[in-house]
Amino acid sequence: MERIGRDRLRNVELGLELEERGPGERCRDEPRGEGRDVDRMAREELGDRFDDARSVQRTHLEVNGATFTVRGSLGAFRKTREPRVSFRLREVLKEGVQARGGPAHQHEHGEFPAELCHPSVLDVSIVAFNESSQPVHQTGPVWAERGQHNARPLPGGACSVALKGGSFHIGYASHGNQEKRRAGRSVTLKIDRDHSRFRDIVRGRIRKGLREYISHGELIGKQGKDLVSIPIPQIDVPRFTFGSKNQGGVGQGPGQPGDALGDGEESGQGQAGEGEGDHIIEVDLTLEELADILGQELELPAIEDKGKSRILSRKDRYTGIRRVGPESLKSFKRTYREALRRSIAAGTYDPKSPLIVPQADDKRFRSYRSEEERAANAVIIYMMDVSGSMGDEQKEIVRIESFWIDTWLRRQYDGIESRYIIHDAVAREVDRDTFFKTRESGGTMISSAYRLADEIITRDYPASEWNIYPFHFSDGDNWSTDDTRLCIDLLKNSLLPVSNMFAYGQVHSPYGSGQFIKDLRENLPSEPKLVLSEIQDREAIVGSIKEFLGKGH
Amino acid sequence: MPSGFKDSSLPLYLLREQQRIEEIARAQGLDFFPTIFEILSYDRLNEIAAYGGFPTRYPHWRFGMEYERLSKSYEYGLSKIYEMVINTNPAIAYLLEGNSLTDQKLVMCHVYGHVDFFKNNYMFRSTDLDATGRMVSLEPPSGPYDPNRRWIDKMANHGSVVRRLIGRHGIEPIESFIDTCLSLENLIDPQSPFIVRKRSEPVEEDIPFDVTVPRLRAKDYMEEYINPAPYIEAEKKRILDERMARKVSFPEQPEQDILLFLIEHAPLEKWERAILTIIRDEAYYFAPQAQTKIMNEGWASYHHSKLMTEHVLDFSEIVDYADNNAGVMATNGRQLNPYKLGVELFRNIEERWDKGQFGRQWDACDDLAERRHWDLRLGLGKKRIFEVRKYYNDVTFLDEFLTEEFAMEHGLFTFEWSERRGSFEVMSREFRKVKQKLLSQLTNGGNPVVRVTHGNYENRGELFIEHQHTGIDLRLDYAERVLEALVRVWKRPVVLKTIISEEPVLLRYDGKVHGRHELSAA
Repeated sequence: MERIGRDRLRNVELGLELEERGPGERCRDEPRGEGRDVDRMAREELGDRFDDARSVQRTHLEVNGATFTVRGSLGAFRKTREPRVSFRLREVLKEGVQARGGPAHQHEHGEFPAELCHPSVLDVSIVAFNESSQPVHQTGPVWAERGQHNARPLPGGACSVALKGGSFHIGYASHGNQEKRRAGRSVTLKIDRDHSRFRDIVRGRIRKGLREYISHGELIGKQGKDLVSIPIPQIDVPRFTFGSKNQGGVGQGPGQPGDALGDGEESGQGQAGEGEGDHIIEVDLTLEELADILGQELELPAIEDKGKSRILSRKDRYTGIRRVGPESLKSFKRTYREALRRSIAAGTYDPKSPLIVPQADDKRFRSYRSEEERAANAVIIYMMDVSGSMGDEQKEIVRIESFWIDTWLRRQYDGIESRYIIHDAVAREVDRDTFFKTRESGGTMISSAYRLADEIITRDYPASEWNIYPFHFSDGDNWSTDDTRLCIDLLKNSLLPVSNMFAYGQVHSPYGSGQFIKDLRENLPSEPKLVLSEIQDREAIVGSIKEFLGKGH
Repeated sequence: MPSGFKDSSLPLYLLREQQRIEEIARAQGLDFFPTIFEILSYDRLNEIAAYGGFPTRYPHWRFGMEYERLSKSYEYGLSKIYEMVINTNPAIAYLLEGNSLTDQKLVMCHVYGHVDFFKNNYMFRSTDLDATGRMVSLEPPSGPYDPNRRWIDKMANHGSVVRRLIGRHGIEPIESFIDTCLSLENLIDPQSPFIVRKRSEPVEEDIPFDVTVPRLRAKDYMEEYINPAPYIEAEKKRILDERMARKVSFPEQPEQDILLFLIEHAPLEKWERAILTIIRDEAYYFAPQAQTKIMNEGWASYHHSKLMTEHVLDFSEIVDYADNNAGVMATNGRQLNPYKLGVELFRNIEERWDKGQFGRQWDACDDLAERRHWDLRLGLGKKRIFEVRKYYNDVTFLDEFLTEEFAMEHGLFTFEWSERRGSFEVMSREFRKVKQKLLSQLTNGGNPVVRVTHGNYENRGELFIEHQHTGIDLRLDYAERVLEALVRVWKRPVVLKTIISEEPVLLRYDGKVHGRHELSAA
């Protein structure tokens, strides 16, 4: 992915050289090796210039504006955006294909002679070269007819044709055996394109529907080790249809009128064409992906590190290749590729018996580099008011919001620590589980939480080395104005100076006065590190996250 | 040798089975197209299944979605596709690589049932193509029936048209227009290929104003009393108005094939029309399968069970077969299993016609004991089921052959959503209600009947469509999306007349806002 175009093009060339085989010959026993990679790379490189892999285009072929009717034609050539080579398939087919080292074959109808068919041949692709033998077109695997109506991969020999100003190259890939093919999914399917398109839309969907999903909290709870399963609605094409619930239906089995039916969600024995009506599919996203989606959706800036990194560990990573090294680090694949390159260059390579013996010069070894790693140096301190006025709904909002904050900050920092504080009139530190579940009654003294947070920071997270993110959620109903004053003092003198950002989220509660946020606004008007947000209901969570994280502290 | 074998890619041992099964099936009276079996790995099978059986279809994300669903449920072990067969001539069927031999045999037997059904059931006539690849009107076959059903090619052509359009216009506009068309996909009239409608009288360019009002015969002196002049005048005006109205109304009669109406009359770009035509053709191709699901699966299951147990199976395979078969036939509380219902109905028909349990005498007999032992030894069962598979579709099939005894024996019931309980609950076991519900669900392929009645509503070029309400409301949020799709195609406001909570309403979308207008009862 990182290599740039030119390099890849060269690889294409090389790959095609490697792909040259006589008809009916077995391909190299490395279906996932260079040959496949080259195919894929070529497709990435030239992707926008050739048509869909595996298109069966039997009747119409458009080549540079001319339409041909060719039965069993070889594939789809779309007009290039920047046509660098012009070729006419019909001419090629008429001229016949000269298989290197083999007999010439007529390709009147694009059908390969039977003797070229080989069961191990899976895909055939066509590459077009321009005058200077640069590959400019490569189709994906090509299909053609076999039998009358039977779409099958077109088996073919490795061939190259001289053409007016350019040439065709027909290469094929085959599989060594079933296991390898299955293991590597070396066959690219036509559906892959539609599939990735769908995934893109789904991601877009998530983007669009993000508010909904966050606020319904559907993303949490299924949190696995590193994966979050998101139940997403299958994208349904809206049609005129009956409302499903008032429709009912006919069933079969025991039961008296008035008995409830089971959930009926299990789809039973799935047969082709059945299974309509199940609307939940799961798309696996890693937390990183999730965070990225969140970041994109909310246009969150990357967070600026305080720049106080501590060198904690040193790690060796094998990243490069060199010509000398111990045998134990020999890169087998690279070595053999060098050997193959050399033998082709020397002309000793015989495709009939592809025997390759590496010499000392061919050897390649993996090399390492020591990297210094920064240790985790960010901490989130969550504080929540659990006094009587914070109901379940309010806590749910806090839970959802802190999940997303957590996800985002974890994406920004390699490792991150979280601490949890709950408070009513007194504060105590708890574990994550308790944090979200506790409900206590009683008064509210916010200062108690701030004081505890300050203690934790002083004890465990020296401000010179840590990025500190305190988040406080409350319904804004503090015990007394005295306590509020105390809070403001604590913020001003202790917490704000050491924190990257201090976030206060005020969850709307029917019982709270919501005074606290006003007091903060009044008393700390120009404090850039203090971020305040009012959260009315679930729908407002997204906006609040944006307020909290949108500044990039 | 049938052409099915010549190009077969099957391994020899399966090819032998195929030959054997084909012979047996033919001996059983099945009459099928040549059938080509392909053996595929699961990912290829899932791919092809996602494309509805055609590896050559146009690119669209929903196939990818289907693929994801299929491969996930395969990977998680929820379900797997055993078989797939597509309605082409020759028919193509897919086997899953790695299935046991017993399963493969089962699938082959099942497939021959399907192919026989494709070939013989009248509904599938509408999938015959003519030489230019258009869908043809139905002529009764003279001589051996060997229609052109080269749908693989047709789908491939659709694919290449769409790809070419994508190449020309970019993927975004094409894909979103396909999405639009898919919202309208079910606005077809699956019966239309079989109906010759007398659409209009010979075209009259000008409305003739000389109208002869039919008069009652009367003697001269009675004329004025029997055909009074004011009445004649009024009648004349009425007839003229009627002619006028017919002339003005467009379409002349309500049109259920809204897609065709749009193709013919909507102001579409050439490429848009091409796509809409593709969507419509494919919708009509798949319609017969949706309309004969119960029969088709029932027929195939009937035959796989007969072929397997009477001829094909080896003793050692019986248990595996039975296990698998039971899985296919399983019913779960809520859904009727079309395989099960279909096969039981065919067996029931066979038994009834074997025993002569039909006709006037049978209907008139209400002595239970007599009915139970009724056996005229007619032996007409086999003949009858072969007829039935030819001339019926799901609606007519159930209407005619779902009897009260059958419903009772198989414990059919209706269920409805219970608001109080928050789940579905069993409503009734009353035969009449069960049958009514079943039939209403199958009618028009389970789609609401919506017809276009004005193409120039209120002389403003608006499209007026009417939902024929049959007791169940439309899903409103979806209906609004469909109106949006219609506006996109029609380029003018669209009005839908329907009934919501027993109130007739007009829903209108003008391209910007959705409007709703309650029609007073008057």
